[in-house]
Amino acid sequence: MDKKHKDILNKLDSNSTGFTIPEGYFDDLENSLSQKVLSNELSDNKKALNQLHIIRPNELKTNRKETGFKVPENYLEQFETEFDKSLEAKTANGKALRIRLVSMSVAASILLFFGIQFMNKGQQNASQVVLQNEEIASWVAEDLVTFDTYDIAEAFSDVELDQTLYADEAVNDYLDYIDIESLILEN
Amino acid sequence: MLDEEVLIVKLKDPLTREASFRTLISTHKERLYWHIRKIVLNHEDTDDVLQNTFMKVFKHIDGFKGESKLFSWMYRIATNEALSFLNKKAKHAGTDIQSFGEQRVENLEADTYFDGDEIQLQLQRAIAKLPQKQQLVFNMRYFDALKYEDMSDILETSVGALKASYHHARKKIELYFKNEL
Repeated sequence: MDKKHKDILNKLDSNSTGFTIPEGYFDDLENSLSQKVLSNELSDNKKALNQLHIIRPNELKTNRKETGFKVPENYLEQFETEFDKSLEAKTANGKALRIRLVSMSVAASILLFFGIQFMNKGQQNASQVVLQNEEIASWVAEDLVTFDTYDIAEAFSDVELDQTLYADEAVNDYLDYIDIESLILEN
Repeated sequence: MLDEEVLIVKLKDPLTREASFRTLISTHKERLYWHIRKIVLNHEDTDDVLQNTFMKVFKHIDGFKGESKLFSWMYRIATNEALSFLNKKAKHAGTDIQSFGEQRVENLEADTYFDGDEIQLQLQRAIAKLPQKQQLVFNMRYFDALKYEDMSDILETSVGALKASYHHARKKIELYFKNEL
């Protein structure tokens, strides 16, 4: 290789590439670029939020426009935890209430059944028996006595239930209405 | 704390992020522009790639661990963005990045923003014929006069390999001139 070609890179001005730029291109580049970048970032955040359909508390804080409304400190951060706790408590109360109502219904039905049995045996104490049964049913309804089906079964161990007393249709209607799982769990 | 470290802290703080990002652009815009320009060659594409570079920088600044200089990290992002831009364009044109680069050099003569003489145009043709990595090494060393240590940080290549690469690139360009002139 001759010296002329070997030295060509040394002779060339390495600071000059021949490339030029539009006049004033660099003058306001930081403003135009930062505006573009920041607006793109904001638009990316909005897109992500729309895709998720979730607004996280921190993002809400950063992106919201000022309205003058305020919330207690850490309210949004703790909202999910508090909401879960409250939901759990409500579910537990609802379940307990449903179980208690079922127990009361069963107890009242059995008491009413024995009442009718007594009435059929003799008319002499009929009014007294009916009155007593009504009182008992009222106590149960008002939740003034607490006992379960085991207590009742123990108290009336010598009584045999008449299988023909309830029509199949009535039993089916009752089973449709009642939550069987609750009965099993309770009894 | 060094200026760069202070700037990084400010960039990561949402309260000072926007203002410090302007400072960052202001400090590095020209060097990054010219680095990208020598890879993609025309002004409009360089402008696009420069914007993408700063967007990536802004988006990932929280993940910047400071293991390299901020400048090196940005240079690396700019290089990747420029190469990925060219790869996409080449794929779209149904060709590889090497052939695509050589085709683009031929557009320089008609480019409003290129006023180089015949030698400078020939130099761009010679560079376009180099393998991609040698093109990067040659541009960074010959035009930007970057230190090999900085180049090593940016290109994640050993200093020895970079020196060899630059040497080969120079030889090939000199040979090109010998054959063409």
